[in-house]
Amino acid sequence: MSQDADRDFDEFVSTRGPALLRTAYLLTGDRHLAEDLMQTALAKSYRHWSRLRGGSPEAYVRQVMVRENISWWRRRRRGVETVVVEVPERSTVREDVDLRLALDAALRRLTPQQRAVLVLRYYADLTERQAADALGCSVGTVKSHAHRALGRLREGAPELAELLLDAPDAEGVHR
Amino acid sequence: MNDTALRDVLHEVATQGVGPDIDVRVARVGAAARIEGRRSARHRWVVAVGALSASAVLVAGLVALLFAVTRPAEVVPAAGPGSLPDQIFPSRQHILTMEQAPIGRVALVYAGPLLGGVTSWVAVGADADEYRALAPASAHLAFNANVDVSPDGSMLVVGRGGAGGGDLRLEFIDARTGQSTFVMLPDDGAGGSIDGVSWSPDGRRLAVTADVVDGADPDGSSGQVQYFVVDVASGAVVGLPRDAVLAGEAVGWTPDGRVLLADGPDERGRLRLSAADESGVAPFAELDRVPAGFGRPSLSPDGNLLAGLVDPTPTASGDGSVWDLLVYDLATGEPVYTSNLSSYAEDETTIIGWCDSVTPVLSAVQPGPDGPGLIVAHDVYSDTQRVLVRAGVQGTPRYYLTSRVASDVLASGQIRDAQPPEQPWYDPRTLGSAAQEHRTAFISSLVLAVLIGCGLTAGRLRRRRPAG
Repeated sequence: MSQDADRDFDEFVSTRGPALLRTAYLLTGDRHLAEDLMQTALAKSYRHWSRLRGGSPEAYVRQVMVRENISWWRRRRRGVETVVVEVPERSTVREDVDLRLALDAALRRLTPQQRAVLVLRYYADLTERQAADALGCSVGTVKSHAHRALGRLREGAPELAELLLDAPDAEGVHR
Repeated sequence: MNDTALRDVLHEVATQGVGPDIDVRVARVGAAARIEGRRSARHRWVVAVGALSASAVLVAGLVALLFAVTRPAEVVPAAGPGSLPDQIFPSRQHILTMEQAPIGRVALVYAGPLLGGVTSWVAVGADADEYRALAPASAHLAFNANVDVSPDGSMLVVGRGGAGGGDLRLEFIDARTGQSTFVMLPDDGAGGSIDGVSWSPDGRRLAVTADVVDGADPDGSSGQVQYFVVDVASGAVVGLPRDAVLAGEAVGWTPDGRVLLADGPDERGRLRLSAADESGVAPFAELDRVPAGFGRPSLSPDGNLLAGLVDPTPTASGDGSVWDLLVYDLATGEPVYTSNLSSYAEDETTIIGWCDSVTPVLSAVQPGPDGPGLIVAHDVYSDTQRVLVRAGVQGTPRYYLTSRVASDVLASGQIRDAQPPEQPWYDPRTLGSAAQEHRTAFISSLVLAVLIGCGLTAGRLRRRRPAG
């Protein structure tokens, strides 16, 4: 790869890396896994950087992260189960922190597809079509994943009820 | 709260979850990704080249298998006139057998060492510089004439059964198909050895001299010489009458198709020639004043000349010995040609045939541990000698050109420039057939491809990042 492309890649990582790492965290629920996921996606993107740099590399990296995370989850499911972090005690923390931790824990209970839909739709602000492209599925599948994800969040974390009460259900979101 | 609130909380979760030093970690991840990306790109090339190589090997194996399966049995068409090579080359360690690859037409046969010093009979093609292994030769090769070529070069015979006993049998090898047929000789189950085989001039019959063990002898040490005539087409074996044994040793065929027997010379120098067939023995010719050491006689195809080798006699000065090729005219009973053979090793020289009924042909080995073998034609009436075939090059293992040369090849006098064989050679002891060779190549290719594939897969799995 040329030096220009290398500089371009480094600039992309420095500018868009933090957002991608946060996305990776939301997808994996683990700080270290998030770094691994992002590194894997960036490495794959690097191989095609000369082609990607003229388009939308961030979308590509995000797509790789989503699909790779699902792939990892499938392998983990067949192999060693990871221990889900217990929800910490909430009595001594503030309400907003309490809410964040509850959502964090609730996200971990979702399937990677459901979590990916929520992340892509409500964190990365993608449309249903864009989320479907990133996941490699249909728009209808995105809708059903989002519907089930929100439902499981409501069931698994009652403290989020208020937050999710007016949250747009899949059927109601058309961006 | 609404979807904006959910979005805000998600942002907060992500921000808090990643931690405060995000820029440092992103930089570290980015640098690592770049290194991994470069390495991965190189690895992809390695995988691609490896996969391509494995595929090529696999395809080659499949093609070889397909070739082996679909290729019909190789049958060499009947050859033309044929010719003698002007040289035979050192025995190679890899050599096909006649069964593996028919040679079509044989010019001559010699005995020489193969791989590991195993001395074998080797046939040389009349139309191409191809060699085929026939059978292991006995340890004692000098004048061992239990292998012979038919006059037209299309058939070989190998006498089986050795000094240690065993069934007496003849193996007839069709040089055009590679197929062998066996003919058993009657030996009362006691076994014995075949001491000589000789084709009739028309190629229809074979004269066999055998030393048959006496079945009544409890230790099996006593043998009895017997002569047989084998009809090649039918395999019928006829033993010559007892009179034939008394009449002398079998030395060839008369022009009218009887077995020629030679007895003598006796103390008065008289050599008697007899002709034998199933009906009995009849006088053929008689010579007087034949030197005492005259032996190994050979009759010319027209029956007019008799050639023989005279055993060495010490020179007058006592510093060596002389020995000769001596040719008699049977019509006059007088010698017509003498040639000093002192330049050849005595025990490894024999008369193997005739050219034009007036030119005896000798196989000889020049003295010395690395002396090359020769086939030399002696023109009786012009008193000239011509080397027809030279065995190998100086410094090679010794050759014994003890077999008869196809008579019509010799008669034509066609000598061709031989070239070192360029085709691949194979070891007959490790390969059963040419098809097996292809199968072996295919299996080897398959195993290699699988190993390469496993190696590449293992490499990829090892490089894959841990999933958690």
